[in-house]
Amino acid sequence: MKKKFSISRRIVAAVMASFIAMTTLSACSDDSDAPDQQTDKHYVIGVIPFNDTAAEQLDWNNYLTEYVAKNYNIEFKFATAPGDAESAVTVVEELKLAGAEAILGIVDYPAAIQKANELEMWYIRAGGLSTLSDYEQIKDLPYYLGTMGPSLDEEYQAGYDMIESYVKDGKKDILVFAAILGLYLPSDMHVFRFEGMRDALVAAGAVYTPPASGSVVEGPGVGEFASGTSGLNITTIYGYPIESIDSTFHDRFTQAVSGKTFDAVAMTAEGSQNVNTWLNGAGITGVVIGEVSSFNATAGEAFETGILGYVVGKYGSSMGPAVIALINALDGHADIMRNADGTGARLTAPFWAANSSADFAAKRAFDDNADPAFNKAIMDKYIVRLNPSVTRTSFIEFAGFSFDDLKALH
Amino acid sequence: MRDVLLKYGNKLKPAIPFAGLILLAVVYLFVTDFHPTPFHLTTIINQVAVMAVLSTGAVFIFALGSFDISLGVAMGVSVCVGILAYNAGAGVVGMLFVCLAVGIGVSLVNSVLSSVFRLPVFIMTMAMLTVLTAVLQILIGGKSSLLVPSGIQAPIKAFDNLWVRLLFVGVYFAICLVLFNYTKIGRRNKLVGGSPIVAAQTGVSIAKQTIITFLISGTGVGLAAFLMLTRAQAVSVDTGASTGMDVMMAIVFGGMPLSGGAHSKIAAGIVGSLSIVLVSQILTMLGVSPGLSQVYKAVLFLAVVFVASLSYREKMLSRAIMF
Repeated sequence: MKKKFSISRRIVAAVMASFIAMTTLSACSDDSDAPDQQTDKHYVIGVIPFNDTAAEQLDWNNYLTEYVAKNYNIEFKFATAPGDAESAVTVVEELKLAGAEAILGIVDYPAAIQKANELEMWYIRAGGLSTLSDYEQIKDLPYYLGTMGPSLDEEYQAGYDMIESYVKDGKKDILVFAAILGLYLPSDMHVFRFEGMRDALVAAGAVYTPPASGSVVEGPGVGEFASGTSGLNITTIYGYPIESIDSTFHDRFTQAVSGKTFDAVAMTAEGSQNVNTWLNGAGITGVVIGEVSSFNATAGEAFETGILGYVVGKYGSSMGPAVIALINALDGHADIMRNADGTGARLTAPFWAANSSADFAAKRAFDDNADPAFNKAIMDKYIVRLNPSVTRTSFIEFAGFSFDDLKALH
Repeated sequence: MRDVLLKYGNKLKPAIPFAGLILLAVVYLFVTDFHPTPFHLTTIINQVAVMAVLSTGAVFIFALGSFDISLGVAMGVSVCVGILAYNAGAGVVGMLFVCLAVGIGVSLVNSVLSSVFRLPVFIMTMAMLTVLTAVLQILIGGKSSLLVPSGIQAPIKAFDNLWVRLLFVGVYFAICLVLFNYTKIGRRNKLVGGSPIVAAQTGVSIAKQTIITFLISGTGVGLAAFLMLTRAQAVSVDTGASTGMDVMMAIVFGGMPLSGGAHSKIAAGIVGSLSIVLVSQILTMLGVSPGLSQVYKAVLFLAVVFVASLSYREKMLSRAIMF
C-alpha cells in the first residue's frame, strides 16, 4: 500500500515538473503574434488594469492588443490589477523591469504614480478621472501626463439622463439602487450619479428627504423619495452586494422590494444580471434595469434578453486617446497633453448611452476591433510625429470626441 | 534503497531552500544577461522587505504548529492608525511607535483570545481577519483610501530608501535569530510545535509561550506596517488583504516544516520572501502574462509543499492539545 502511494507521488511530481518546464519554455519562446511593423519606432507600454477579469477591462485589453499593438508597433505589458497602494508601487517596478517605458494606468494610486515618475516612466490615468484629492498630490510630477475620462459632470448627467429616460417612457414604479453609497466606501462617481438621479426625480415632481446624517456619503442610507406631484413610486436601496463589505445588503434588499412591483431599476453602477436574479427571487419579474457600466458583450446579452433597458458607459476603443498621449510623450511631445503651467491635465472623455437593444448593438458594432471608433485614420491625425500641426487644444477636442463626432469622422 | 534515499534526503533537506534560492539567483542573472543593474537589486530589496519582516515574525507562530492568517490585515490596521497619527502631527518617529503599538496590541489580543479561551490559533485568527477588516473600513471611514497629504509627505519619503529597509530587516532578523536559536523562547516554541503534550509535561506553559510568540510576531507587524507606509503613503480597505497568504507561501518556500516543531528555521521567512520575489521578477522579465504567472507560482508552491511534506507525517508526535 505504501509503495503504491509512493509511486503515485512520483507520478504527480513528474507531471508537475513537466508542467513547470513547459511553462518556462513557453515563456522563453518568441511571441509569433508580433505587431505589424507599420512605424519605425517600437514602444513598450505597461498597462495597470483596475480589475483582471471585468468585462470593461477585457474590452480595453482586446482593443490594445488586437488593434493598437498591430497598428502602432506597440508592445503592451499587462500587470496584475493591484489591490492596494503598495502592490501598485510593486507593479510599476515590475513593469519597468519588463522594459515598459510608459504606463497606461486604469488605477490611481499616488504612490505608484510617484514611483513611475521616479523611474522616468510617463504615466496617464485613463478610463476615469482621478479624484481631485489624488490629482492634487501628483499633478506637478514631470512624468505625469494627467488623467482622462468622464468628468464628474458627465457622471451626474449619466444618472440624470437615466431617470429622465424612464420618466419619458412612462415608468411609474422605480427602484433606485445606489451602489456603494450609504457605506464607508463611496466614490465620487457614484455620489455624482446618484445626485443626478435624485435631481431628475425632483425635477419630475418627487420630494426628496435626505438621510438623517444629511449626506449620502456618511450614511447609513441615501434618503427617501415621496411621490409629490410626479406620480412616481420610488424605492431606494443602498449598499454593496458583497458579504464581506456589506453583510446586511441582501436582507435590506429583500425588505425594500418585498410586496412591491417595479417598472424600472436605476443603478449607479453595474450588476444588472444580479439585480434581476434577486428581483426574480422576490417574485418580481419583467423589470427594465438601467446601469452605468460599459458597452461590453455581457451588457449586450442582458439587453437582448430584456434585462437591461438603459446603459451608459465607456467602450473598448475609448483607450485610444490615452495611448496617443503616451506615444506623443515618448516622442518628446508631452506638452500636447500636459497643461501649459507644467501640471498634468484633466481631460474629459464622454460616455456613450443606449436605451434599446438595437441602439446598443449598433454602437457596439461601431466599436468593433476590426475598425474601432477610435481607429488609426482618426488617431494618426493627433500624433505629432505624423502631424506637426497638432496643438494642445486640438488634442483636448480629440480626447473628448462623442459618439456623434466619431461617427461623423468615419 | 528507500532507507538510504530517506537518510541522505533528510540530511540534504535543510539545504534545499537555499539551493533553490541560489538556483533562482542564477536564473535571475541569466534573464538579466548577467548584467543586473542597481535598479534590479533595489527593486528586489524594496519588494522583499515588508514580506521578510512579517514572515520572520510569523516563523515563531508557525513553529508552534499554527498560523496567523490575520497578519496582513493587522498590518493594514497598523498602517491606517500610523497614517492617522502622522496626519495628526505625530512625526515619523511617533508614527513608527504607533505602528509598533498597534501591531503588538492586535497580536496581544490574538494571543490572549487564543490562550485564555483555548481557541485554535488558525480559527481564531480567521475570525480576527473579519473583525480587523471591519475595523480598517471604519478607520478609513467615508473614503476609498487614506493618504498622507502631499504637503507633509517629505519626512516620510526620506525613509523610503534602501538603507532604511535593510536596517529594519537586518536588525529585526538578527534579534529573531538570537531569540529563536539561542534562547528558551525559540527552544520552547519548537517543543510546543513538536508536541504540545510533551511540552506541557516538561513544564512549558503553552499559554505563556503563545503570548510571547504573538508579541514577537506583532513587533514584526508594526515594523512591516512602517515600511509599507514609507513606500505607499496610503492605506485602503484592501491593504494587506492577501498578505497573510503571501506570508504563508513565503515561509513554506523558505523550507519551514508544515507542522512546525524542532526543524523550524528562522531563516525560512527571508529565504522564502526572496525566492518568491525572484520568481515573480523572473516571470515578469520573461514576459509571462499575469494569469500564467499566478498558475506558475501555484504549481511551484504545490511542488514545494509536496517536497516539504515527504515523510513528515510518519515523524509527527501526537498533536492532541492538553491544557
